[in-house]
Amino acid sequence: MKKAFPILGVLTAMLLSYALYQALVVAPTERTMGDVQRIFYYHVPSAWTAFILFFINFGASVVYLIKRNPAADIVALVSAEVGVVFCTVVLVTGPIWARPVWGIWWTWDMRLTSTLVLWLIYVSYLFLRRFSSSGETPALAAALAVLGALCVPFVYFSIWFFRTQHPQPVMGGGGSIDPRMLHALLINWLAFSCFAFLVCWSRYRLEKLQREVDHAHAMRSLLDPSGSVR
Amino acid sequence: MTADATAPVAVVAVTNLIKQFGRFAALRGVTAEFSGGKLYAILGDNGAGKTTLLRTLAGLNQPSSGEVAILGSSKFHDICQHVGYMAHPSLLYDEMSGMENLQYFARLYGIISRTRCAEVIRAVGLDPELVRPVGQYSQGMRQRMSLARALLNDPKVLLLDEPFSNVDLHSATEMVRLLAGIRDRGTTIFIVTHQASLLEGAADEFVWMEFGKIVGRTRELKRPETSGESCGAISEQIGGEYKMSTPTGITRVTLLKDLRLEWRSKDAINSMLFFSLLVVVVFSFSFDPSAEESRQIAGGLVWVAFLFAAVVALNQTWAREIRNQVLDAYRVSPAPANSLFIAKTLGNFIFVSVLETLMTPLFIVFYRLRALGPVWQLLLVGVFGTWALVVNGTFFAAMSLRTRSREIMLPLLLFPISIPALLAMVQATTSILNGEGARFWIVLLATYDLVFTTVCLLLFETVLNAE
Repeated sequence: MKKAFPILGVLTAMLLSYALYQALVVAPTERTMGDVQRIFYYHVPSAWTAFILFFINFGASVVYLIKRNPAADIVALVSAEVGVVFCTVVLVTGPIWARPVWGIWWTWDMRLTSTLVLWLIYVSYLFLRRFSSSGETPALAAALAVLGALCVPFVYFSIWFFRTQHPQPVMGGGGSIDPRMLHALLINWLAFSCFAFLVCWSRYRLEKLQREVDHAHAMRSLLDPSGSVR
Repeated sequence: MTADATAPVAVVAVTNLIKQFGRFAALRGVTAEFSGGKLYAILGDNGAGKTTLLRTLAGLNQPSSGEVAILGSSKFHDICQHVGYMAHPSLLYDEMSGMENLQYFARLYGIISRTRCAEVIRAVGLDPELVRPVGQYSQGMRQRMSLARALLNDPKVLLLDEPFSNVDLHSATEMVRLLAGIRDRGTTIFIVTHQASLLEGAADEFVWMEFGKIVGRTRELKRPETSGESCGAISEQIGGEYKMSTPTGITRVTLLKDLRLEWRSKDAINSMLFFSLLVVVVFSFSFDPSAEESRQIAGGLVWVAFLFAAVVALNQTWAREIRNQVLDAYRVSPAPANSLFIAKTLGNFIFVSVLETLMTPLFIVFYRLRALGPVWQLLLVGVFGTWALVVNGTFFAAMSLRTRSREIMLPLLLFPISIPALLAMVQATTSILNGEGARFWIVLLATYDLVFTTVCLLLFETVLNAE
């Protein structure tokens, strides 16, 4: 496993470079928006990756609530952290695209608002983990993750009933896309997914190590007459 | 339970019990057996692990490893009906009289008899007719009332943490005589105390703890003859008025208790009214809308004012339960966690509904509002919207109890999760005020309520007992 990590790291770096080439060179320039449209190759894959990570967070939280497996808690934590980072990328790249195209950085459009709400839910999840004491954190966070995930369909159903300035979704939105653009998009999504997996893996190992250190300290405290170690 | 004289049955057995709080080990491999019908004094310096051991026996702390068996069961929930627990804090509501407190806790154990409550109050040397709230009792009286609460369910195992602290010498001696009498009738008693001398002659065994371990068990003194006369006798049986608690019954008494306390203090209602009025005033600095404009913004304005005001009350939801650690008394009782959750949610629903009823006419006057759409739909939005706020609010208020800075955590947790409901509430209200129907939003709100109420009920026990 130790060898697999650098190999995957190199492969991901190569894939990201190829995806960059596809997005900036191979994909054709959009007729009305021009080159600014190319941000779409980062905006959309980031959104998809964030959604997948939030879904993993939900699944891992349910597993933790049922089995009380510490590994599931670490997966939930890591997926939320990395998911929030990718969701932040979505929220930052959106306005960068919107300013030249719409003439404004932000509008209280439902699709934008719902993404911001999603980001807030998972930031509150990370706050809860930070503010609760270590023993209680996994159960409380898992409960919040389940409620947070339940909000997602409500937010998305409500979107259907609002007019939105946001372009229609690429998948299932009813529009068409140039095959070279679709290819660049999917390659970028694959590259982002690999990168997210790599970061999650690294963070998982770090968190696991941290907990092993804490456990070792706790075990030492059993031998220490004063009951605690610094 | 029968005790063989030659081979005493272990009523409480702990095996290699370890309890860690982060990097601190409070219990470090405790293994011991305790026979029935004896009085054990648990002694040791501060931080020796006495209270942690007692809380672990009471099911309030989950062991990091090792096993606890009480009355032959390792599942505390199965035997909690037979355990009495008295903590260092009183575990009583300061705002209620001793009798009111005991009647409430008796119902958690399925005891409907007022006589039983009066009996245990008299047994600890207090007057059942005393009407003043427990908050006005002296520390010693509070301790004795707390002991009475622990004795309510005629426990087979009695766990007492510092029962004599702040009690005068005479009263403490009387309490010891009473406890010795209870022990003589077969109850196993554990007393954590720093006043070991009080138990000389009464305790069957002194259990010495140091750094999370039992380091010695001594029997320096023989058991005395006790009459228990001056403290009064406690009946051995609760009798025909003892019945199994029903979840609905517990929900009802908990709700009535909360309503009674709010009726006396009016803390939640007054602070909510003041706060929502303040929001209206602050909004008025930003705009002075026409009647037409008001209809467009009123939905948002009204619900934001109610949401912010509700947070004030929701933050208080568990305040009384944590003040004297009363929540622990609930947790050691056989009462189901969801009964408590439903009662608290219903209580908050009533408080916020009262606020809305009082504030709505003011909004109508201030912003010249008139509903052009169906009013019955507006009422449905009010009911479903309020329920959405309070069910999540009550749940997250319980969750934020377990965090640092809980006043900050409640809005941080509640607002993002409530946004879908808030969106539906605002859209529905605006539509109705403008003469349009809001069936879709009402259905969305009802679905939201159903889903979130179900999931909160499923998860509440996890949140209540998280550690």
